Amino acid sequence: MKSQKKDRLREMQLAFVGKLMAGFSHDFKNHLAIIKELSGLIEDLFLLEEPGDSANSERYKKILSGINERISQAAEMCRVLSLFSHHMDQPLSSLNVTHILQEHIYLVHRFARQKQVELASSFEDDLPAIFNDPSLLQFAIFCILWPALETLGPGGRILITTSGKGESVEIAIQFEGAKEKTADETGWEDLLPEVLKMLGADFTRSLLLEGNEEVVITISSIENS
Amino acid sequence: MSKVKVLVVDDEIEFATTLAERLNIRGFETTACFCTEDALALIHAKEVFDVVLLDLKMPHMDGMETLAEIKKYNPIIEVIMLTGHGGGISLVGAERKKFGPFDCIMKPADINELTTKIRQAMAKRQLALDRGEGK
Repeated sequence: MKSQKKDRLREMQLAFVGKLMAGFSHDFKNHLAIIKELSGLIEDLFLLEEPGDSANSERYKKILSGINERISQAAEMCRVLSLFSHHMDQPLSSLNVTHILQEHIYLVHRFARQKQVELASSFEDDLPAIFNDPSLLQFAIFCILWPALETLGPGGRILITTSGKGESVEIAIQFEGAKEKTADETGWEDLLPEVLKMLGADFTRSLLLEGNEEVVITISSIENS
Repeated sequence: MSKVKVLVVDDEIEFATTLAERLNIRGFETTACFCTEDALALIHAKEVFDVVLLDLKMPHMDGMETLAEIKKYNPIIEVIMLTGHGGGISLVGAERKKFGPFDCIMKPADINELTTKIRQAMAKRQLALDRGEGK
C-alpha cells in the first residue's frame, strides 16, 4: 500500500476509535449522573425523615434497585470497551463474527438512538470461526454503518444479518428509510475497498425496493483467501 | 415569595425525574420533560418557567437548537445547559456569543452547585423582569 494511503487509513482508524469513545464516554457519564442523583435522593429522603420513621423503606428499595441497574449497565459498557480495546492487541486472531458485530452494535447504538434509527440484527447460530483481523473488520463495518447513520432520517432502520457460506461468513446490512441528508465529505466509504482488500473480503452493494440498499460482505480466514 | 419554576429537559427519564424531585425538596417548583419537542410545547403553551435546565445532546433536536427556539420565543427565560460532553464548556463558547451569556454545568452535577446556579439565573431573570423585558 502506498504510504499516503496507509497514513490516511491510520488517520481514519484513529478517528473511528475517537468517535466511538466520545459516544461511549458520554453514555458512561449519563449512568454516573443517574447514580449520583439517585443516591443523592436517598440522602435527601433520609434527611427529611423523622427518627424512627420507616415510611420510605419501599422507596429506598426502588431507588437502590435503580442504582444497581445503572451500575450493571456501566459495568457492561466497561466490559465491551475492554473487548474492543483488546482486539488491537494482535492484528490477526480467530474471531467470531457474531461477537464482533454484537459488540459493534453495542458501541454505535447511542448514535442510532440519537438519530432515532433502529439498529436490528439477526445472527445465524454456529457460524464458522474466522482467522482474520477483528479490529479491521470492526473498522470496515463502521465505514459502512457510520455514513448510513449520518444520512438516514428518523424512523430509518438498519438490519444486520449473518449466514455461514462454507468456511466463510456473509454479513448483510440493509438500510431502510428515507435519507435526511447526504453523507459528509469525511470519506469513510472511500476507504472501504482498501480495508476489505486487507481483510481479503468480497463486497457487493445493491439497490432494493423503495430506494433501500443492501451491502454484503463475505469474509473468510485470511490464510484461505 | 413564589417558588422558582424550573423545567428540566433530558431524554434520560430517570435522571430528569430524580433531579426534579431533588430540586422540589429544595423548594423549587420543577417539571421534568423528556424531549425538546415537549419542552417547547410547554413553553409555547404559556407555561411560565423561570429557568430551564437543558441537556446539550438529545435525539432529533439538540440542546443548542432548543436554546435558540426558547430564546426566540422568550429571551429572558434563563437556560442552564447540562452536558456529559467532555468539552461541554468550550463547546458552548461560540453559542454564548450568539445567544448571550448562559451557564453550563457538567454531568454528573453537584446538587448544591446546581441550585446556586439556578438561584443566580433567577436573580438575573428578576432584573430583566424588573426592567420590563420579556414576556
